[in-house]
Amino acid sequence: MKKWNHPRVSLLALTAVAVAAGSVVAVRAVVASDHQDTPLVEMSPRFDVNDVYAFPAPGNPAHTVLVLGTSSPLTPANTPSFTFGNKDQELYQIKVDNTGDAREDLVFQLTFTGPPGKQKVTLRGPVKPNSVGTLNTLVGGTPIKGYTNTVIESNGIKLFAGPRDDPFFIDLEAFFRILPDRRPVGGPLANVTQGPLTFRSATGSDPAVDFLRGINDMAIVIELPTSLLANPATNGRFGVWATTSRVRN
Amino acid sequence: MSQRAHAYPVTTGIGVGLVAIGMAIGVASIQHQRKAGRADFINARPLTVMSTAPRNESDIRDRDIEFYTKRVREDKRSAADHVVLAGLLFTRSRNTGSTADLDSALQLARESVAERSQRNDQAFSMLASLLMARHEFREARTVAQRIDSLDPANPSHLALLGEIELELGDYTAAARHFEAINYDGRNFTNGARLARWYEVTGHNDLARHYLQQAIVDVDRRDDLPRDQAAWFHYRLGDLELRSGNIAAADSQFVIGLAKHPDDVRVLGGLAHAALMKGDWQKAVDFGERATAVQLDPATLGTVSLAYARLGDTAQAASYARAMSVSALKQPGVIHRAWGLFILDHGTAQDRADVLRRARMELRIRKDVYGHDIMAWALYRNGLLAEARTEMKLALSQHTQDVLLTEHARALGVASPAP
Repeated sequence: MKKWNHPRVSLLALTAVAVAAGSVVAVRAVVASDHQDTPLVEMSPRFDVNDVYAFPAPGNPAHTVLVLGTSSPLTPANTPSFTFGNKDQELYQIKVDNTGDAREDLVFQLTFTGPPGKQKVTLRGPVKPNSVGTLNTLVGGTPIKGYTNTVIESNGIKLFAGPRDDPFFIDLEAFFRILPDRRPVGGPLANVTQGPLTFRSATGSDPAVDFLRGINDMAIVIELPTSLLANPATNGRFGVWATTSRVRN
Repeated sequence: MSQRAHAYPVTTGIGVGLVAIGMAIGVASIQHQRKAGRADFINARPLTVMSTAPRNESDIRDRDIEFYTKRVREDKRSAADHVVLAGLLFTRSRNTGSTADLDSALQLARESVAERSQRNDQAFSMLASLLMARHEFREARTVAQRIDSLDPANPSHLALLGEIELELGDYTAAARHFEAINYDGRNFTNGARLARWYEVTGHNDLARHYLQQAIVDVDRRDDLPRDQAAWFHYRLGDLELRSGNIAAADSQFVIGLAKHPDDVRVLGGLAHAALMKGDWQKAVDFGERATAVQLDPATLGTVSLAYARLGDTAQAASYARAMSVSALKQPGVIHRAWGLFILDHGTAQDRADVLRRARMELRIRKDVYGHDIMAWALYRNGLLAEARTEMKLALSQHTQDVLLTEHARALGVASPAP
């Protein structure tokens, strides 16, 4: 049995989604972003967990969408040849804690094979993991299989894996100007106006700049009934995070 | 049980396609009530921008240049985009010999540094490397010193400074910087620079070791352009050629070519190795493949010599002329491979011109190869005593290079004791 360990051990920022109990569905979507933050993931970008999103499915309040984005920044020219890995050596996992102890109770495991453009994806889960923590093995059960860049549906679960516009927004140079050790020394951004921090609009005369415009990531998107994730014992609250792992031979 | 890898390697990334965002964004929380109309908004957004499948890495590079050119035009303040575009243009200039790309890259790197001096190491390193490519070594050194002062004792900065000092022939300073590097064995950029240091100072075994280690590290990366992977094999092959190990050199060039077919540097290396083996036709074949893409003076000279050996004096003369035309367009006072070629195959007037250029360059660059070409120029101009003095300086670092050895033997200069 293959064992996997995490080059990207965990998300620095835990992403959580809280679903309120009762018939009123008030959803708090929480996002976290984190690009190229360690030398190891710079060496192997597909292991770079950029974003994790969890939010109610548009148009279906009983479903939740989980998204794991990796590999950004991919330019349009680099995107077609990029893969999730082609030697079945990479394991992508979305983990769910629905008991409030910050340990995964459920896991989604995704593996990939095949060349660019013809990749096959296999999804296992959501099921109880064989082990918690950083050393994992593939779980059993009937997996969902299909091709990347298509929406695969099985037993109420929808899966998509493929390139997508990196959804994170940051005006990087404007962000740097508020950091004392990164502030520009020349140009218009050097003139920091003292005062409360505000957000600039993405439109108008002096718009904010979407630094990740036109940049893609490799996205794994899973939509499924929230009931497959939520635990009534914890009032329907659950936490979500994601990991990437490399096979340990 | 945990197999967590805590010892992450420190890489500086000579890769040019990376945007070093280098940050961790904290959790941002947005609370919203889900609305039926939101689905339309989400669906209306273009989800991805993806090119049609590129044909090869050159095509990807050219498309990336277009992509980042547009970004720089849109956001003139983006220090990060400026340096990425500079890197892409620098790569293209190395592969095609385009001086226009080199000039544009230099301008972009200067703008990036002007925009943001702190935490912009990539731009400073790029600027220094571009200045070296332009043979503006003194300014390159100033830039490298500045980045070193902003982040002292950083091994990458020390290696960059050391490399520039090697080019300037300031071996005392280079030794100080290279010896201060606490090399972790994982940063292949630093490994390649350390290899150059050991090579120049006569430790070819150590140089070989560092390059082999760098190749292992490069092969571990799955995001580097193949021309960069090929470059390390080219470098190791070149070291083997200089060491006189032609078969080993050939083997490295072959691996490099497999990694990046039509790589002009590797093809040039194969042509040179074939010439050294006496396989004239192969030297022509490889050399012509390389010069079809880039008119590298050294490779043009190799093809000229190979044609001469094959008895085709017209082609030999034609390639020699092309070599001169190309060499005189290169940055710097003198293209050394051209200078040595001319000293052996040119007219008396040509030899005097090379001597004049060699003297001029030696005012700035006092490295062993500067002394070597000076020695050879003096010798070929009939100034044997001065040539011997220069040759001793060329051998002062105990460099183990067949070219230096041949020149020293011809001049009757013995290698200094180690």
